[in-house]
Amino acid sequence: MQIRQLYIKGFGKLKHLQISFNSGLNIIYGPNESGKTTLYNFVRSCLCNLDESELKKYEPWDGEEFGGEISIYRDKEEVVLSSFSAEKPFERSFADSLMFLSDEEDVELRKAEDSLVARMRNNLQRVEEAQLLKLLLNKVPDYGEILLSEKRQLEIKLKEIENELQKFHRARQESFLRAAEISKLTQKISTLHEEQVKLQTQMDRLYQRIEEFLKQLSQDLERKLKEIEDRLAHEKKYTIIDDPEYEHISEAKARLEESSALYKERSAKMEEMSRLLQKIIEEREELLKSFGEKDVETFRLKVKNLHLTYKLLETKLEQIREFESSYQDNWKYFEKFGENFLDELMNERMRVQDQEEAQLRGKLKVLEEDVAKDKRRIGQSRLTAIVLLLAAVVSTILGFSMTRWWFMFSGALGLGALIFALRVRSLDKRVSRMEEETLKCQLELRTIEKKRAMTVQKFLESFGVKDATQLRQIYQEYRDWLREKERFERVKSELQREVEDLLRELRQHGAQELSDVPTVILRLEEKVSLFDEKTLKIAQLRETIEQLRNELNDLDRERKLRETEFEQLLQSFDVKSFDEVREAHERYYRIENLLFEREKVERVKNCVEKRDFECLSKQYAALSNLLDEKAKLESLLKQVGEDLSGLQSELVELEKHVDDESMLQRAVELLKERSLIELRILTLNMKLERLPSLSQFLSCELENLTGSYVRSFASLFVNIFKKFSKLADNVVVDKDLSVKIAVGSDLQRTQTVLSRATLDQMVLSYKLALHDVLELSEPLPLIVDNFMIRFDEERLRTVAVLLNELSKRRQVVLLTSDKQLVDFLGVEPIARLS
Amino acid sequence: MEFLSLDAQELLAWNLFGDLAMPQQIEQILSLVPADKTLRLREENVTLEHLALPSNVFVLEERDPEFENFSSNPVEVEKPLFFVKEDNEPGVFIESSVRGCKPVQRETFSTPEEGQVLYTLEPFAEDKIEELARLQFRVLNSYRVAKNDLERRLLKKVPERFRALFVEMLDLQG
Repeated sequence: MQIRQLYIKGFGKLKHLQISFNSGLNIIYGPNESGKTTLYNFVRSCLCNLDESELKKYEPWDGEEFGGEISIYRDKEEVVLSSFSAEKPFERSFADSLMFLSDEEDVELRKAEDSLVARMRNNLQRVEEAQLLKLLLNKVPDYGEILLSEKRQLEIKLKEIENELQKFHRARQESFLRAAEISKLTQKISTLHEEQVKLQTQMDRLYQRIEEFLKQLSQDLERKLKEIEDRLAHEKKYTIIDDPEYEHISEAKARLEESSALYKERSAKMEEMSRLLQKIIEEREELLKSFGEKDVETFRLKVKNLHLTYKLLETKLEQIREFESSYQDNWKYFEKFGENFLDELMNERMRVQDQEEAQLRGKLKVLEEDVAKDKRRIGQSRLTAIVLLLAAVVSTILGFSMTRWWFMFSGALGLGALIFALRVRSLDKRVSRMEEETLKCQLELRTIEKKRAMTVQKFLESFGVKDATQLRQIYQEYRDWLREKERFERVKSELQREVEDLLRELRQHGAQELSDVPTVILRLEEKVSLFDEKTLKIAQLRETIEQLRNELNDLDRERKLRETEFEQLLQSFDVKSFDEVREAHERYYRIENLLFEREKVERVKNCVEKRDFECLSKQYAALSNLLDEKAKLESLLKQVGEDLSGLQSELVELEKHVDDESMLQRAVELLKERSLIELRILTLNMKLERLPSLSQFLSCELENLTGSYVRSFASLFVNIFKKFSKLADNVVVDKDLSVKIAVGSDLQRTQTVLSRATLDQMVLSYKLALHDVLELSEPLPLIVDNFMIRFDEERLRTVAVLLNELSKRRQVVLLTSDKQLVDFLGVEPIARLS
Repeated sequence: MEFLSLDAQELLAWNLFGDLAMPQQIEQILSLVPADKTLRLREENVTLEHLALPSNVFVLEERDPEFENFSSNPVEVEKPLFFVKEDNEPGVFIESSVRGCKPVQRETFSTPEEGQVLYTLEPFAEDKIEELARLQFRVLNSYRVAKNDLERRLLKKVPERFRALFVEMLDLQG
């Protein structure tokens, strides 16, 4: 229901007032005492019955026209209501409970009007809806299951399609491979065809070459055969000697040659022997001449005598040498000093040592004198230095009371003391050096004394004896040797004469000295034995030569006999020399070769006629090569043929598999089906996502329909009241819709607990909730008269928002004197009262 | 065919065949390349090297990074692109005048362009299908209209997005 317009003729202080309303929020602004409550009550009086007493308050006291009209739109029709009309559209309690709100409101929220409660209970129209909703809610799990199962089936199908598509991709890959294979095969087949044609051409050419070769060969063979026949006829005209005959003649010839060779060898040997005999005889004669004797026996005796003489001389000379070698070196002292040799020798040695001792003692005396002199000087210098030092000290002390030059004098004294101290030091060093030298001289004197004691002992040791007795024995030996020496001198002179005689005898044979004699005698003896050897050799050679001469005669006879035999043999074969025999024999071989060749040529000819290639290829390399080539070509041709047929069958096999068209069509169908399934799965997912929300929605709806009106009211009321106060959580709504506040464990009446402002907010929430819970077929307008006068600014803002929202579904008429609220609402007032 | 009829000596195509083309089709298509033109190809999904290709068709080994987002395949792109080289001058891309058939998702309802098929996943009431069909939309999921006053009343309360589920549940047996 909506208020469209009102016109007041006269109502309280309001006269001739006309206001038009819109469907949303309508603000009528006016300060206090401007007639807002009058206007509010005029609307009330039009919509519901007011008491007469209440109406009388607004009767013009000046007797002017009283009342007015209000135009409303209800149940799709326009209705005009007068403030005095008997029938009002709403009962007063109903209208006050749902539509009107004034600052003079009774804030006691004890209970809702019974008529309202009854109305809520009897909303039978929704039972049907609730039943259906309940049925649907029961179906939700099954429906979810169905959706899920449908989704699963689709997913399975999608997977199958994916698998099939993968198969298609694999098959496609294979198809590409197959296409590549077919392309390759086609290329290969074409290449092989070309190769086959090429090979066939080569083969034909080869056949032609073989035929030409055979023709040429046949001609050559004919010509060769004719040549052989001619040569055979020619050779057969002359003597022919075969192998056994030739062997017989050769043996006879060999025997003859053997005899001749043996004869020649023996003749040469005999000549050689004769020459050797002559030479040895000449050598023996020369040896005899060198002996200087007429016969060899005399010379042999002479050599023997000379040999014996020499040996005797040698023995004697050996004895003399032995005597001379018995002389000892230390006997020379005996030769020098005679019998007093020992004393003389000792005196000689001692004299030398005494001289050395005297020298040392002289040196020692000089050193000792120098030391004594230097020590004296040291004493004097030391004393002088001390005196000068003391004088310098005294002079320095006196210097403090004297003049400045006195210090110079003190310095001169100090310098003198220093010079003497240095001299003492240098003399001291010299004295110590001389003392060291004195010590050395004393040590040397001691060594000389020791040497003197050792001299005699060393002399005896030089003779290898320990005392003088043994030395005198050695001297006796020397005396004996001297006596023997004279005898040996005589023997030596005799021997000298004998040696000279011997050398004179042997000088012609080269001996100059006695030492040459043994060599010369040995040489002479060797010559004699050589002479004997040569004599023996001459006798042996003469015997051998005689034997050879006899043998030669025998050989000459045999040679002549064989010569005769050989000549007779040659005559039997009608030849004159062995060269002719050899030629006849060679002819025999030539004929044999010709016959063999003829046979061979005939055989080859036969092969050519029969086309026996196996036989021919063994003999003709060119033909063999051609045949090999032919075999190779045939093998290649066969191989190519086999490859070709293999490839063709492979190609046929590959082409059999090609059915890409149907495969592709199937793949396209699958892709379409996949897209549709994916879309269907998306739809199902969407439905599954929405299902819980739908279930919640249905539950809420069912709750709204079937749940208790008290719970619905309480829920709505608390939600609105919460916008104003936190106490909304402590609100308890009873079955009669009375409201209490829970304080601790007790429930208190709102009026006793809450402030007036909070009570106002609660009343506003209560009336709004009550209107919504009733769910009227047509919303009723809300008419508010200066109700928010006790609201603070924050609550004013809240109520402004609330009224604005409310005005979207319900007409709101707000009569207010609060300029701030008007500003918060942001709507221009439809009327201003003054 | 439009591509092959371009007035150019050398043609360049990237991913012309996609992942469905069969070898025989590729061979047939490539045999259509005029003999006086050279076509260079680079395929990502297909190995063309061993196919029996005409002598004026060359398969490129590597993709030029310059053509990273470039494809001539009408199945993969809405507007196939072709690279044309003329008189050895630097090439230019030529966009095909015919649309490809790549599936494209649109956020808003609009008249389909050439080559596009519009589907809607959102379920619609059967009485609205005709209206949507006029806009060339194919409705994949529809639901029946209310049978009686009770259903009509409830359907009015049910938000639009729940209506299909609501009707399907109404029709669910049991």
